[in-house]
Amino acid sequence: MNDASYNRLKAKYVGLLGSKCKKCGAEFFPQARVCRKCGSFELQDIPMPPTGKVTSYTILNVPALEFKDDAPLVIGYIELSNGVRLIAQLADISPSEVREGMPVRMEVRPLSQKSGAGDPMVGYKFVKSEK
Amino acid sequence: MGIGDLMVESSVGVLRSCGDLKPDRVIVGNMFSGVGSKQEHLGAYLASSLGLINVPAYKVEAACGSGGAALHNAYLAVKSGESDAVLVTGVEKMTDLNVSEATSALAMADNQEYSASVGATFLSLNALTHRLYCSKYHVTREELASFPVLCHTNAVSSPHAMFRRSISVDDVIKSPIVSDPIRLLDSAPICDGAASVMVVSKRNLKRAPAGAVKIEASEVAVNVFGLAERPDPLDYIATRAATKRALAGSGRELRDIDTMEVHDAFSITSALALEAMGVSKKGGAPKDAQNGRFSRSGELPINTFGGLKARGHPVGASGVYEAAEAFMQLTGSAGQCQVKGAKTSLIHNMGGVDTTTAVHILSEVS
Ligand SMILES: [Zn+2]
Repeated sequence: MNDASYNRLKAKYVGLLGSKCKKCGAEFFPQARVCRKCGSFELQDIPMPPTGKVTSYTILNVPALEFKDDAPLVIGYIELSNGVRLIAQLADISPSEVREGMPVRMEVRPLSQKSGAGDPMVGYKFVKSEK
Repeated sequence: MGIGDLMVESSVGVLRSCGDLKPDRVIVGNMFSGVGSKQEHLGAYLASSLGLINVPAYKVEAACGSGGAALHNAYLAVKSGESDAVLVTGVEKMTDLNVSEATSALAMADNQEYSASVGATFLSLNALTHRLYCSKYHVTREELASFPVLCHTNAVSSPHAMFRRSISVDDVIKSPIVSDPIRLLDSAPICDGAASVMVVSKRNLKRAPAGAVKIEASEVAVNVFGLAERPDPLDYIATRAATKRALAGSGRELRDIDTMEVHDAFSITSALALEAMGVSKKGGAPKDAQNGRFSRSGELPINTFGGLKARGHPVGASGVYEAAEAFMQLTGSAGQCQVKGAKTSLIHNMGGVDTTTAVHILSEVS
């Protein structure tokens, strides 16, 4: 990700910003311009709830270049408490302890350890939660 | 060979077999020549290299489903009456990139900003579905490994295959873990390749000395773009829709299909595709593979030349390879890979995780 795309995305990452349909109430992440449920064009920005559970996961040993210093990455398929799903890195959870159904919550963390010239790029990751 | 050499060489092969028949349109299927070779504008590049000036020529892109989407466009051009002979060439040059660069390039098939940028790769997306599938249906890694084993067995007698050697279930399970639970041998390889076919109108049929097959149906469908956002990530709805429409369009049922080429980018994609088509019950495809149902001597042979896994998966070319392979089956020119009595074939090509899916039904011309 280059600086320009990061600058455009940062607020959405940090705020876990999604959309809610004003007509039928369906929620989406990432943001949607058109409701996939009812077809409405009237949606509003809303932050997603920061808690959920791991529905699936993978231990990624061969990441892309930007993440090579972070291998192995624990990648989770997370269902948030509103039912919306997303894919994110799990932080402070070792490959041996990650489980399907594990409760997690969002934290803002550097996306990768790869050091650049300026501040690290931050985004959403998920850590273990008490529930 | 560079990307130009690949697509030209493959195209010359098909032009040579078509005698004096010259294409009036050129369509290239390709996913990432811009990243892989810093080269775009492949339509003009190929047409011009073949001495075809003034014809319409362009590239069609739908990630790993580019080849199938290109074939679909050729079908439409002929069916509409605008074209009488369309050259379709699928091409991908992947090996000028190192593994992590190729990994990043393949990740363009999903929503970059919410998968690749947060650390996921294309492989890891499939790994998430692999684990979900095994938990939901109590399928074992060993059962899923039946798919790469089958593909390698078929590739031994396939002259154009990349891996002409057989492997065991144990080899798959013990191969290096790329993105757990996906092993290296669950995954189709990064490689280069090109394949070509000519789509002709009825009146040009006689001018194809190498024989011809009929395109009975050509369908493309898309799923929700981001895998994460799908109501059920194990439901390949694009595969289901395209297959259903293709069968309806050709007036056929699944039991009429004699051979099938299935987009086996990973062991899990074979299983989910076959189940979405209705070939196997949910959670049942790996068992069917294990029991020999999909072997070349089985009830419904799949990936008869090795599939993506063992023939190779030059992503944008794979859909056209499938068409060329079905052509060989239906014209009785498949050599040692021949499935006896094959009259009708279905080919299935996906971009992303069933994000864009092309299904074609081809049959012999009597
Ligand atoms: Zn709505």
